[in-house]
Amino acid sequence: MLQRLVLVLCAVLLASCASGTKITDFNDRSVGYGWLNIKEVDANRLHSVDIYQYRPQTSEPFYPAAVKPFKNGFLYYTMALPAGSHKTHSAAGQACMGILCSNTTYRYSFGRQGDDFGAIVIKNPGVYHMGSYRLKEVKTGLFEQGKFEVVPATDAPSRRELLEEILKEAQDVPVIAERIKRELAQLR
Amino acid sequence: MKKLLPLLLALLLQACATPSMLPAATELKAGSGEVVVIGKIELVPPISPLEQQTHWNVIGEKRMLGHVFMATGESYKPVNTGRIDGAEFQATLEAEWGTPFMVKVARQPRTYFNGGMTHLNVMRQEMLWFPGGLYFEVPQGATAVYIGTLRYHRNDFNSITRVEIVDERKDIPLVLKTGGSPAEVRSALLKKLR
Repeated sequence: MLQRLVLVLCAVLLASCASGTKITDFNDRSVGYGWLNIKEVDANRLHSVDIYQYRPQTSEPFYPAAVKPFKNGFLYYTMALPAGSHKTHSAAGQACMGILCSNTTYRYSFGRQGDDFGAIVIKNPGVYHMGSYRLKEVKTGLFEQGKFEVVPATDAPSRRELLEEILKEAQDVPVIAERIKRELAQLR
Repeated sequence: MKKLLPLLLALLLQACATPSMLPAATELKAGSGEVVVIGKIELVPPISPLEQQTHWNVIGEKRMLGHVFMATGESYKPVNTGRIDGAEFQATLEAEWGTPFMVKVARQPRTYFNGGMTHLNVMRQEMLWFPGGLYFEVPQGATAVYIGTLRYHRNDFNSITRVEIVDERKDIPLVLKTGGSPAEVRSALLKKLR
């Protein structure tokens, strides 16, 4: 009896941990991708980037992006964006040395206001570049919280390089792979 | 050295200043040196619950969400956006979005709106900022004034695209719960700084 109860409790706990809706049909979804250089902030290893859906409003507005080290920075992308207005919302990472990482997570929020950085409006399913940026520490007072600013990256990989990298991971989603190939064909 | 200590303490206290709200008024009578101010602040399109993140463990969150906090002062000093500096919010007009307010403001030649903010996620300190650069002047002898509806328009990404001031005197009776006649309220519509 007790064993059954424990199993039920575990199932309930696991169910409550699950979040987000799993997307299986990518026909009406778009790729959003970007690149971040974090050399000038405390974190040196990114482990998450979130993209926020502004319009249409939804109860599940956050799209976690895949993140991978790429050309002296970090490539991030998602293949799940529906039509609407989206913006890179935040990035989080740690300071690491080899395999050892500090237990502090640094979170860089791009804010919920303004379309200067990382904002896209998707009208038709396709491939959308959200920009390449450099995060830069800003000096603050002794008792002030750390601040950072976002500036366009001049040393970023080309869109072609970024898309070719994403394409390697998109082979098991044919509709998305096809869209990336089409986008690549249009890039010079 | 002893002289430096109070200065240092004053600086520390200023750095820790907490925002202070303008007192709500319940009638049209104002104390000496005060004036009753009636108006409204709107956002188009309005903030929906889907845009706000709530947390069960954040004390006072309910009061903060759905409200706009406008820094006012006797001179125009635009607030620093990005982070709340308590020193800039020492005479804050707190209003529920789209609901008429009635508060007491210090009687001064001009009262400036220096910029405002509203919370989207209190725990993560995510907020939207609204430009100031507006003021109202109290006519001679007036004890209560109506400053209009301050209406902000925003785009998909919450950038403020337009600011307008609308005369909606029909709002005045809505806040006069304990008597008083709308006729006693003089018009002093907000004006934009040039």
